[in-house]
Amino acid sequence: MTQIAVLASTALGAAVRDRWFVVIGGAFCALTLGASALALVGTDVIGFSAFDRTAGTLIGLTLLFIPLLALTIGAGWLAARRESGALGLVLAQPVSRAQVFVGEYLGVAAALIGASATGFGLAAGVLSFRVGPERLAAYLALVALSMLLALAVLGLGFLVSARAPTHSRALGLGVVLWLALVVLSDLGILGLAVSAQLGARGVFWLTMANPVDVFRIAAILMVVHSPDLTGPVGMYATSRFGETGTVGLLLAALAGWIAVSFTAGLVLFCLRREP
Amino acid sequence: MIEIRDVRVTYGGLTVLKGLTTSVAAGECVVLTGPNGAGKTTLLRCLLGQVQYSGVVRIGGFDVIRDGRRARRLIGYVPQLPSFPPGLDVDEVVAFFQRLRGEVAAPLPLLEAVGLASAAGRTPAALSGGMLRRLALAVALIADPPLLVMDEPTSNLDPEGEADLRGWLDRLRDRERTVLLASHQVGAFQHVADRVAVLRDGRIAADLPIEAFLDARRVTLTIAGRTCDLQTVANRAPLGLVEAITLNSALHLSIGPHDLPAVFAALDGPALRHCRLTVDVHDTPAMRTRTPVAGEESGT
Repeated sequence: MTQIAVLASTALGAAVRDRWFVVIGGAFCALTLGASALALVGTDVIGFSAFDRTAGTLIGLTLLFIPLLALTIGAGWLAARRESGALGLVLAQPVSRAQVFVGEYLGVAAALIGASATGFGLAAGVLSFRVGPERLAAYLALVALSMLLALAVLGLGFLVSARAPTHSRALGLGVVLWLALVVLSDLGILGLAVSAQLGARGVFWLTMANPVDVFRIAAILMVVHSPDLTGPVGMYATSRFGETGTVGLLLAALAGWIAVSFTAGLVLFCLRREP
Repeated sequence: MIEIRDVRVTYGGLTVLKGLTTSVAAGECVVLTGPNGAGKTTLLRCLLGQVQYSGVVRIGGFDVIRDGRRARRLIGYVPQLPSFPPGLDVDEVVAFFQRLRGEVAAPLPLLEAVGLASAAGRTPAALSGGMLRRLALAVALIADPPLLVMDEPTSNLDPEGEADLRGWLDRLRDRERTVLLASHQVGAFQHVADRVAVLRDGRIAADLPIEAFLDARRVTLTIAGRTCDLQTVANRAPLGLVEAITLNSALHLSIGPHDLPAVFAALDGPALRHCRLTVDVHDTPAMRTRTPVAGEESGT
C-alpha cells in the first residue's frame, strides 16, 4: 500500500507538471470560468435559468475536454515511460506490476479530478453571485459526474497504454478513441439503428456502451431535470424506468465503465513481462 | 547468488538465448561480454523478470517470476541508458526510489557518495551521460543490495568516471557484494573481476578467469588484401572466441593461443583465398614475434 502511495504521489506531481495537461486543463478551467461569467449577464429566457444555461454549457465543455484530457494523458502515460526506459527501472525495484499500474492510475486520476474540481470550483465561485444555494446539490452532482467520466475514460486510456509499444502509437490510439467516443459515436449508433432496425430499447442499450453518452444523459437528467433534452434515448429510458431508475442505471453504467476499463488495463499490464 | 538454467528467449521468431546455463556465486564479480546482439542485455533483463523466457532464473534462491519482488529486493540495477520518472529533480529521483524500496528518503548521502551532491536540485534532463550513469548508480546502491547488475557501466563515462566506478566496484568487493556486469571493455575491470563469461549466439561460449581471458588476447590475427572480402571473413569469425576490429583496411582478430586452430577452422572458406594472413604472437613484449602463416594473396 505504501508503495502504491509513493507511486501515486509521484505520478500526481508529474501529471500536474505535464505541459499537455496544463494546456488542456487550463483551457477547460478558462472556458468554465467564461461560461459562468456569461451567466451573470442576460436574463432567464425561455424557461431556463442562468444556472441551467451555465450547467448546459459546462456539460458541453466537460463532454469535450475531460475525455480529451483523460484519454491523451492516460494513453501516453505508461507508454512514454516504457519508451524512455523509466518504467523498466521502476519495475526493476521490489514492486509488483499491479502496484505500479494502480499507483500510476491513482496519481493521474487525482490530477484529473483536481483539474475538474478547479474548473468547476472557479465556475461555482462566479455562479454564486447569481444562483442561490438551492441549486448546490445539482451543481455538486454535475461535478461528481464529471469526475466519474474522467475516471472511466482514464481507464480506457490506461488500457491503451498497457499494451501500446510506443508513445506515439498510444497517443494516436487515444485521439482515435476520443474521436470515436465524442464525435463519431452518435453517427455510428444512428447508422447501426437504421441498418439493424433497432428500436428505442436497442438504441438505449447501445448508448450505454459509450461512457461519454452515459455522462451526457445522466448530467441532463440530474442537473437540468429535463428528459426532453436528452433526446429519444433519454426519453425512452425515463418512460421505461422512470427518472430515478434511469439515473440509477446510468450511474451503474459509469461505475461499470470505470471498473471494466481499469481491470482490463490492469490485467493486460500484469500479463506482460516486458516493461 | 545467481542461478540460470536452460534459459531460452525468443523475440518474434528470433531465438536470442538458446538454453543458456550459468551461475554466479555470492561475492563474485563477473563480466559478461560478447558481440552486439549476443543477448547480454536480454540475459540481464531475465534477472529482473522483464523478459518472457523458458527455463529457470533464481536470485538468492528466489525465482524471479514466482518470487519476483523478493528476488528484485536483492538487486541493484544500472541500465544501459538510464532514464528516470519525469518531473523529478535529481534528489527527488533518489528519494522516490528510496521510498519505493521502503527506505527513509535521504538522498544527499548517496548523491555525495557518487559525486552528484552539487546536482541535487537539477533535473536529470540537464545532466550529462556520465552524470546520469552516476545517478543510476546511486539508485542501484539504495538499501545496499547484495547483488549489483550493471549494463555497459562504462559507456558515457570519462576516465575519471571510470576510475570512480572501479573504486565503487572495489569497495563492493571488499564488502563481498556480488556484481554482474555486461561490457565490451573487459580490460577496464581486470582489477575487480573474477571471471569473464563470453556470450555468443545465445550461449556461454567461454567462461574463464579474468587472467586467462586477458592472456588469451595476446595473439592477433591480421587479415588483409586488395581483393579480400573482409566483411564475409568477419561474419565467419567465431566471436565468442575472438574480438574483431577493422582498421586500415585490415581485419584484426584478437584470439587466445589455444583457440587459434578453432578460429582457423571457422574462417576457412572461399572468401579467405584472396586474403593475406599474419599472426602476431606477443606473449611478452620481449618474445613478440611476427609469424607469417600464409603466402601473399594465398589461402589458408
